[in-house]
Amino acid sequence: MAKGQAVEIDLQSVTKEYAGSSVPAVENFSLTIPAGEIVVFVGPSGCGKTTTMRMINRLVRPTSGRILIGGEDAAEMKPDVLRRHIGYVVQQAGLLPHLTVRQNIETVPKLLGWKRDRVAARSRELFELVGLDEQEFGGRYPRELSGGQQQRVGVARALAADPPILLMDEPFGALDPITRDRLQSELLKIQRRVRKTIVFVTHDIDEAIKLGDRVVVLKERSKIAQAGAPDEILAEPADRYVRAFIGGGAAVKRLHLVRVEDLDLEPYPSFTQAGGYEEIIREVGTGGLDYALLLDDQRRPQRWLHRDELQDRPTDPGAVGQAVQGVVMATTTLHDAMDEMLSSGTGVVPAVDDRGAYIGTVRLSQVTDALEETHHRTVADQSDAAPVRTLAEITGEIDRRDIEAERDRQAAAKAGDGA
Amino acid sequence: MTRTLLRLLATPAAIVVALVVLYWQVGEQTNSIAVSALAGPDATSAHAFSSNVITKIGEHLKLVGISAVFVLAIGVPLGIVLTRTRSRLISIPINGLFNAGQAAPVIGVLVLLVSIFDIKSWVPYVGLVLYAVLPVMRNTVEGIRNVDPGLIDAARGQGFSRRQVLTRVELPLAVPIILSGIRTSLVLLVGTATLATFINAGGLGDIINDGIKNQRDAVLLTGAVLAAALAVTIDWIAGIAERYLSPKGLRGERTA
Amino acid sequence: MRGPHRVRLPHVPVPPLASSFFTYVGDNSDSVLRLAWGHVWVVALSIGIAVVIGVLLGVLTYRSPLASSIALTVSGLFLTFPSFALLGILLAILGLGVTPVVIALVLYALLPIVSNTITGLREVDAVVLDSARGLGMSPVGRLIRVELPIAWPVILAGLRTATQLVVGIAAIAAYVNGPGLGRFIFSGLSQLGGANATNQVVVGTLGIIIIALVFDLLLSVVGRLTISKGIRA
Repeated sequence: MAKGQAVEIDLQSVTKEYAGSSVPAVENFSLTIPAGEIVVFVGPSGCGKTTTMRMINRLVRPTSGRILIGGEDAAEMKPDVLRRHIGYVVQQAGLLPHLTVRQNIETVPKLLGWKRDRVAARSRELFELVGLDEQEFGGRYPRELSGGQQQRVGVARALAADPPILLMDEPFGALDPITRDRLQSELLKIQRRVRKTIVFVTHDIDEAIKLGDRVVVLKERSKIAQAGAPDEILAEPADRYVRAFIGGGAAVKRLHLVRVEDLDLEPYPSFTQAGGYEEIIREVGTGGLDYALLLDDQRRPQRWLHRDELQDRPTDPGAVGQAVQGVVMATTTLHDAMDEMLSSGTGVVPAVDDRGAYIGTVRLSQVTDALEETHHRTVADQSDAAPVRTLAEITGEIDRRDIEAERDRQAAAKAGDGA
Repeated sequence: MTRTLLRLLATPAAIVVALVVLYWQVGEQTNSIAVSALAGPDATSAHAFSSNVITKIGEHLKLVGISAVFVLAIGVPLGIVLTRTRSRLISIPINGLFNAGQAAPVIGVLVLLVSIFDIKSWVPYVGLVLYAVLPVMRNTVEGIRNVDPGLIDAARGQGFSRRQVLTRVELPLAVPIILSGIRTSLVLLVGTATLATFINAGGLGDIINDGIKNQRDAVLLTGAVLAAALAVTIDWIAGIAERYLSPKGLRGERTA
Repeated sequence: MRGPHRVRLPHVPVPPLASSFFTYVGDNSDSVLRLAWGHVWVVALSIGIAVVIGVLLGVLTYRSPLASSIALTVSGLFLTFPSFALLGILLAILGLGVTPVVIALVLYALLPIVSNTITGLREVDAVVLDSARGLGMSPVGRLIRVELPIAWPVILAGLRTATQLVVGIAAIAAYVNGPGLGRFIFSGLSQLGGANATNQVVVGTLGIIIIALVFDLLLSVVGRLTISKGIRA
């Protein structure tokens, strides 16, 4: 396997039977996972999705069928050697508790017999990649980290030897929603840099839609209910099972598919205190706007100042105006951006890059426009698609989501009885 | 079920085998002078040997039995008292005593007792009880401390008095651990009682000691194998008792 | 409630212990040190052998419930045997000397070590093991780099229990010509009533307690130095 180069994974009629069980855990599973893509297996617990994934690195040995990794039959490689070339991240990170963060990250390079300075250089890269400060965290032990930090280390460890493939088994399942969202976004950011073939297992359809280039919805015995791009699945659920699994709010879920950076960000007037007021007052005036954004010396958004407040030319602008309530990252999905706006109660939210520097603003109207756009794309050949709705309807839908999900579940249960 | 039964019967079967082998080995030599050294000046027959062996077993059991009663009568209440005090002033020195007591060689304690009090009939009991009371006391403390505080809270909430909480909640729940401490103590007692010979208190240690002194392996083995068999038997009986005396709801849980 | 009859302790003529004890130790410092050293040595040797055998037994059996229950039953059996009886049996087979003593001590030390090794290895988190497997560690690599280091605190606790046990039992070994401070106790016993009898017994007993405590301290220091900070209680 070429180092780093993503490879294709080809599962051919893979079956796993366990002794003492009459039905196979995985039955005749065939799927090609294209190189460099994130493929998400999503399904209810016990559907065999994890077993399917674990057959790729032979933690589970297939009863029959073949798995080709980059064209080579995985069964012909020594399992330990195979696994060293496939990154593996599990729920709760599975970090070795007796080793420091740095030692955990360096495990596989050391197993591969890398030279000391190469290992050190690589771990420096990895700390940077997953956004952990090496000085601060390198010497800590796993139990001294939060769940989110542990999972970052888990990802760094899996990527340590620059494997072409990354397997992730519900890695963010045990995290709180906010941390989970952030790590999902960061995983996408990392993937943009490293371009691995990633197989990701989850039971959370929202996570699947947010992360997957392709989403594979599985039912019992790891049968593929539907496989395709996320918007395909949202727009045209193959059957009632998939529809029920997607649950309510499909329209809003589509917002998962568009990222802040996909929009034309508005260059809302911004200034730093050092820059003085004259120019910004002029800029606000010519734009006919009410507010300007104050940045700190690293161009991070700080406060919104009204034009009247700007006229006063305050010596300490940090004391006037409104503190910025929330920011979104370039890689944030519109769904999360909308959440941010609704929770911060503003119609405009600043967007920032990896380092937190201001790159433009997102308006609520842009989000609703994007929502209509995704509809136009898919609404044509869909008889039962929801009509384009106003934002009020959509936000109402967020609250109604649970109710609808429940209704869908009942519908699915009924369908199940009939079958 | 059959597996438990097999396990239950494996121990006595092994003991019987060991005793048969012993009888067969030693039986051939019962008429030799090896025995006379043991059975006393006026007895030279196999009959005298076996009657002497039975006497020694009796002495051994008496040492163990009487000590066990005291161990129970002292160990459990003392353990309870220790859990009633929140004060570290008491628990720290007691813990220190536990540790030092465990480290103290029994034989040293026994000999020290006789060197202070001379050879008296009660001296060996004091030594045995001192030594064997520790596991019972410790397990009583541990068993009570292990009780889920939530349960105690719930009982208090229902209006149980402190004493009722102790007798109806804490003690019953601690029984398995206390029983396992008692089992450990009994085994210790059988072992320690073999040392009673050094302070002229009889028991199977006499036979072992005679064998060593007179370099008669047959005699030595008789005493040693019998003592070992006795220990294993008592451990086995205690194991069964442990299983059936535990409150039903707690059975099957592993106790350390 | 107090019973009417209180056990009355017999009048004890207190031997001039306090004054003469230190004199006795001073006068006999040579043999005290020599026998203390012998005690330490025989215990250390036995524990060393027992650790190798015990950990090996644990490692070989912990995956199989049947094998581990056999290992535990057998090593438990040895611990059940009265020490004097086991020493006697070994003596009958091997004759007087250090060998039967060391064998007896090893047999006594086995159970705590085997049982804690098995417990420790079994307690290793399955998720951790799975991820170690996923990283491509071989079974031996996993054992050495993951399982044993994580089980080490538990194994070490077993080692401490075993050492305490063996230090005490080594005292009896002196009776069958084993090395160690037990000699003082038996020599005191043989001269009961003699001038230095009590001194000798006290030297032996106290010495053994001290050795036990020193061993324990030493092993706790070993723990401090060898247990990863990431898993220390």
